[in-house]
Amino acid sequence: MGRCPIQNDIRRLRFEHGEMTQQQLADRAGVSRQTIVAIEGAKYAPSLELAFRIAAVFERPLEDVFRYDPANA
Amino acid sequence: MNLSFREKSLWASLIAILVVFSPYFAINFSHLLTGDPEISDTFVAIGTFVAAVLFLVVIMVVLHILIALSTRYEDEDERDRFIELTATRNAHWVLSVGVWVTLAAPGASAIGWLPPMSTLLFAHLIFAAFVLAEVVGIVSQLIQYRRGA
Repeated sequence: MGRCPIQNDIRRLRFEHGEMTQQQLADRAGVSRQTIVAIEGAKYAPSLELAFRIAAVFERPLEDVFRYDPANA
Repeated sequence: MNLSFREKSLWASLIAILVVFSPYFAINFSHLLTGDPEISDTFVAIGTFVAAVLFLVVIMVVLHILIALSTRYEDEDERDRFIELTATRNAHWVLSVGVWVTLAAPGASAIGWLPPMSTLLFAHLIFAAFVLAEVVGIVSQLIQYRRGA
């Protein structure tokens, strides 16, 4: 599976939230670290619910965390 | 290679299935196709089958205990379910083809394309389709986990 059309700024947001680790984000979003790795690398498009949960961890609106990139569709 | 609990579990299942069922099918099919009277006995076949399944369970339990001791367990999440569903779809195709091929085998046997088929050989072919489908399902999951799907 190649890159998916849902791109994100999770890496930057983790950095801005006190160098939050992938494991910490995974625990707070209720998924495995491997899933966070896959989402961050734009290899897996999360469900809408999970996308909202991740955005909630960063206390940002969804569009600050995820964006649609038609070039990868 | 940094493997998650789920990947290690899949590798353990794959290894256990291959270790048990490769020789199982190799021996059974070679003997059944050549008409070996001993292995064609239904009681021997059932006994061998039960022994193989018990051996499989023992290997899987031992391997999973070792994995649990060395790897952090993580609950299944939506990506795991997605990967499992995709793998199940792939396994379903293999099982469907395997069952249809097996159903066609007596016909092929009747017109001389295959050796005469016993009920036992028929049962082994159906069971082989299930095992092959399981292997394809596991390999599909392993590939998707490695790709990061």
